Amino acid sequence: MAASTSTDTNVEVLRRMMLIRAFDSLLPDLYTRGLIRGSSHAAIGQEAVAVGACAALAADDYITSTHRGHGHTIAKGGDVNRMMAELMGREDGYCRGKGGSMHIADFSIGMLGANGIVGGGFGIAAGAALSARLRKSGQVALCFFGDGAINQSSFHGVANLAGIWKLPLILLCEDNRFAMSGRAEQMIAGGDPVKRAQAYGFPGVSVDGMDVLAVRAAVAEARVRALAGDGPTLVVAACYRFQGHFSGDTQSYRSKEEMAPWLERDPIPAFRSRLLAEGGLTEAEADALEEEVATSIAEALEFAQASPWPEAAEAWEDVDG
Amino acid sequence: MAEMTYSEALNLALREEMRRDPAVFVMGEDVAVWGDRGGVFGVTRGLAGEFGLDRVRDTPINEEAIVGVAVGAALTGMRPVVEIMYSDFLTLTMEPLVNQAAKLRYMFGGQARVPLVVRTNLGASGGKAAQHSQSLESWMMHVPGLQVAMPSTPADARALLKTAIRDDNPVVFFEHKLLYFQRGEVPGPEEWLEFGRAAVRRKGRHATVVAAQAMLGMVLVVASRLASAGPGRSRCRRATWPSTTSTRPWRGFAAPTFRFPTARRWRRWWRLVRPPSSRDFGRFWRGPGGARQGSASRGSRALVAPSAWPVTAVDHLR
Repeated sequence: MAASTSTDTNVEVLRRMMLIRAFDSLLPDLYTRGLIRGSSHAAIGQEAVAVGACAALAADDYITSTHRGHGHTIAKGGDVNRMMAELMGREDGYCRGKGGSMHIADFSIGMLGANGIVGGGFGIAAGAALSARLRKSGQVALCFFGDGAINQSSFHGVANLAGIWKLPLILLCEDNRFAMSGRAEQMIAGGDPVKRAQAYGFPGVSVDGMDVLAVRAAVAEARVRALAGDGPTLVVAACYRFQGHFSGDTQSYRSKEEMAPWLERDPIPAFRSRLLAEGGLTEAEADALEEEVATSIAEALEFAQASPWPEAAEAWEDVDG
Repeated sequence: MAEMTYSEALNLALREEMRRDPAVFVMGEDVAVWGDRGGVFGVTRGLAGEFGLDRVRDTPINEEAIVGVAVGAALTGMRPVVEIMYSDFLTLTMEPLVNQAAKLRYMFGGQARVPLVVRTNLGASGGKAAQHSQSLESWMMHVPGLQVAMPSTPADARALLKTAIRDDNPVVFFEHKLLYFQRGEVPGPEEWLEFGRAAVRRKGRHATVVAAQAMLGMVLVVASRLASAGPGRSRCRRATWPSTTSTRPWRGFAAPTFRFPTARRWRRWWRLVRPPSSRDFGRFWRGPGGARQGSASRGSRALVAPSAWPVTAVDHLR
């Protein structure tokens, strides 16, 4: 089990997990009300991986995210107002409405972007790690990716390069068991993705992705290795996607019986109970935290709806060639 | 002003930019230690000696990773110049190049810049078949967010590469295999070329021919022949910077027109476009002073000109 950390940080860890849950829980309603279009993917059930990993990073460390990326941005300290505005395509969105759900980025907090391409973050994260090495900046880069992405050729290319160059890179596999409908055991040769690290000569670590402190401890250790010049670490966090791939997913590929034991291990009530039991939090404080989170999301919705649409002429901005 | 080859001019541009800006670094397959100290075509020769193996990095053979990693480095304060050994291998870089490099600045609403140069070469040269001979510049031109540069002379090679490196957006920089050992005058150190402008190589009144790289030399030979044949003087432009979304039109551009020729015109046309004689080759590959361009020992096979003549352009000229 993870080393204990300060209570303040643990409360913040819980708050961020709650914020992710509240943000992503709103998505179906936003679709129904016609407030957002396009694709968006909820990370409900996977909050402990995003928050645990980012809690182990420094403020100026880099992360790259995936198509299921709202949680990563919130975990790194992103602003839910600008995220919500981006989902709605508004001017005050992180990308002035041009990116939407799958391309939220905040370079000011080292969040180098969610990505619509499965495995699209490998090169970017490794490049950021190389850049940190060349600039001697003392930063590390962490790449979030799913169990589906580990089969992309970009994983091989980057794992090999990061391995030989010993880049300060953390490869964090969110093994949520599904690549859309493709099951990890069906799609990954050799079974457990963590075994792949051995081939590249760096450690592979399996961690319980439903335990936020366990994730934080594993990533903290990987970060120490990275900064010591010992190269990358593959951390595979076993978790579960509680909802469909996207809002309209009928989920014909899995049964309620299969989901039940995972739903029982929901990382947010588990961590809340743990903090209550350890005395780091009272019931009243926990309820207040939930209220605070609900207020933040309501305000984000208001902020986004009040934000203007981008000017039509902006469609031609920021592209050359 | 110094005389050097196209390859040496590119090497000089890299050196000058790496000396000027510590963020510039070079990465690719066999760029550091291959052959005579770097680069299959010698463009990165000696750079590792001057700048060290941190800034001149040999990579494994994985073009997708080379460009992918370069995109990440470019997003976070570096100015990578990567080499893709042959432009045919650009096909392996499509994901990071087209989905990431070209689009991130736009999709992130302008909060990111991708100052990335992907150097590669195009053109057929000496029996390497269809996986080492493609010219994919028009493909790249159709990707919004990618800029395409194609230098035709040693002077342009140096100047355009410097411009590409200083640009904050991704540039696919096409060198030409048949030009690497061509010699030419290269002006002083601060020379650079603005993107998006054409250079007039030969002035005329009746027609405009747009050509780039090896075809420029061909066009100039034909234009000289036309001038002496008497249909009037011709104007030759070298397009250095084609662009799909640029709002700056190529000044003086004229669309080719075609008429079915009469028998008399056919004969006249054939005299103009007949395959080149050895005398023509001599004229093409020798400078104004008559000096042999390139060294026979290391580049003579690469100097064989393509057999296709720009018939459309000549039709137009007639």
